[in-house]
Parts: sequence; C-alpha cells; structure tokens
Amino acid sequence: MSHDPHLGFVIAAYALALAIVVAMAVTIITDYLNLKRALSPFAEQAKDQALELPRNPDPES
Amino acid sequence: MNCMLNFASPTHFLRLARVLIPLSATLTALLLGIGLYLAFFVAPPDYQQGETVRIMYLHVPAAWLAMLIYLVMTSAALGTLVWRHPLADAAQKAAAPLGAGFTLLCLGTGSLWGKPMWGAWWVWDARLTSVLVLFLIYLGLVALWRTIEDPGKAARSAAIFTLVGAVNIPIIKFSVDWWNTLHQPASVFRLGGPAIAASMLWPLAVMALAFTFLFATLYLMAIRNEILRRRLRRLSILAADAEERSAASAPSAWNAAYEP
Repeated sequence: MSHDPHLGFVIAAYALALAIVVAMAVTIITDYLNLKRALSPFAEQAKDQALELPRNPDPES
Repeated sequence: MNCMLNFASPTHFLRLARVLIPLSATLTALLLGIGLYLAFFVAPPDYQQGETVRIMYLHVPAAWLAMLIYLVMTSAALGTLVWRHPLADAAQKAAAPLGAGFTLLCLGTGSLWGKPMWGAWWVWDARLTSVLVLFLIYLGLVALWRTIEDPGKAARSAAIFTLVGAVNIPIIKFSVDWWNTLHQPASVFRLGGPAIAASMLWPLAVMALAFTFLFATLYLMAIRNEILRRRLRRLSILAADAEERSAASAPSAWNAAYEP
C-alpha cells in the first residue's frame, strides 16, 4: 500500500472526512452545552416553585 | 396518524432521544471500526485505480447521505406545511447543516479521487454540477433560517424552498444516464445488480451503514438542540413579559402609596 503513488490523495480524503465529521459533532455538542447553560436558571426557578407549592398549595387562602 | 403525531411530541422525543443517542453512537463507533478495517485491510486494491479506490468507502456513503438527508428534509417540509407539526420544522432545520456537511464531504473526496484518476480536481460534468447545486441549496436553507426572524415564517419559507429544491434529487440520480458524463454510471443500485466485486461491495455496505448511523446520531442530537432552543426562546419571552408587567405595576403602586 505504501508504494502507491496516489497514497497522499487517500490520506487527504480520510483526513478531510475526519475534519468534517469532528466539526459537525463539536458544533452540535457545543450548541447543546450552551443551551443547557442558558436553560439552567429557568430549571432552577421551576424547581424552587415546585418546592414552594406544597407549603402553600392554595394561593387564594 | 393522530397517535403518531402525539408520539412525535417534543417531550416524547426528548425522552426517546436520551435512550437512542448513546445506542446509535455506540453502533456508529462499532460499524465505523469494522468498516474501516474492511476498507483498509480486507478489500483489495483495484486493478486499474490501485489504492485510490479506498476513497470510494468515504465518497459513496457521503453521496448517498447527501441525497437521503434531502429526502428526509422533504418529508419534514411536508409535515410542516400539511400537518403543521412542531417537530417537523425542528427536524427539517436540524438536517440542513448535516446535509451540507455530508455533501461537502462528497464533493471534497470526489475531487481528491478525481485528480489522480481524471487528471482534474473538478469538471463541469452533470453529476458533479448537480451535487454542487445540492450543496448550494443546503447553504441557502441554512441562510434562510438565519435571516428570517419570525420562526413560523422561516419554517414555511424553508419548507417551500425545500420542496422546490427536491427536483434536483432525481437529476442527481439520473444525471449519469441522461447526459454523457465523465462520472461513472451507477454501479450498486442498478437494474442488473451491483457491478462491483463482493470483496469491495461488503466493506462499502458496512461503511454506508456506519455513515447512516453517524447521521442518525448527529441528527437526533441536532433535533434535541432545536427543541431546547425553542424552549429557551419561549421561556425568555415569558420571563421578559413577566418582568415588563411587574415593572409596569410598580410605578402605579408607588404612586398609590404616595398619593395624598
């Protein structure tokens, strides 16, 4: 295999594939982490409200 | 149909994605490992192309996915326009960058395969040109979602654009039959059966399956991101609204307290 005159093209193709796949995966994972971070204050707020509800179940009273 | 629509609700999807993403990622890693082993150590070099034929194990699955993703987007576009299902728009929006990525991979590996075999990085052949048009359609769709601020309008515009662009898929598939092209005709999905040797067909099939699972994993993750993005937008609007209402009521309470 190493004697093939076009081996560089094969290596370049696999390197390109790796770069594109890694770029797509990293973009999606980074986006997910950013969204989770942005949503965390709302999740905490919802948790606090859920904890407060049993103490005062009827807001009218 | 109703049951299916209920099943495809964003909440159900998030629950399902939590199970499916690790499963699909594991299958992708396993199949990619087997596929690369078969492609490099089991499949023989081609009698004419030599080792360069190993680019086929990347190029062909990427080309299949480039078209498959567009078909997925077309069905999602119908879901957006006909049933107005919230997940259909998210599914369509999440697929476009992945489609662009796999089409770029197809064009890039094709160019790297073409230079040593044809003596040119690029030729304005019908197959190559129609795939380039597909890549531009994907980029146009990504740009469309980013340009239109109203998500509803963006979804409908993108769905119409996707349906119009679907005409390019049969052109890509049959370009090698309709026109005299430098690109070779179909050698796997053809009437007389596959034209390539089994020793090369099996590694190609495993790599195609691995790429399909890779797309499925990334796609599930991207749809999950879209659902979370919509949730964040909705919650931010609600929070801003609540803040505005409390700000509006505060001065009146203040005034009331200080009225003589």
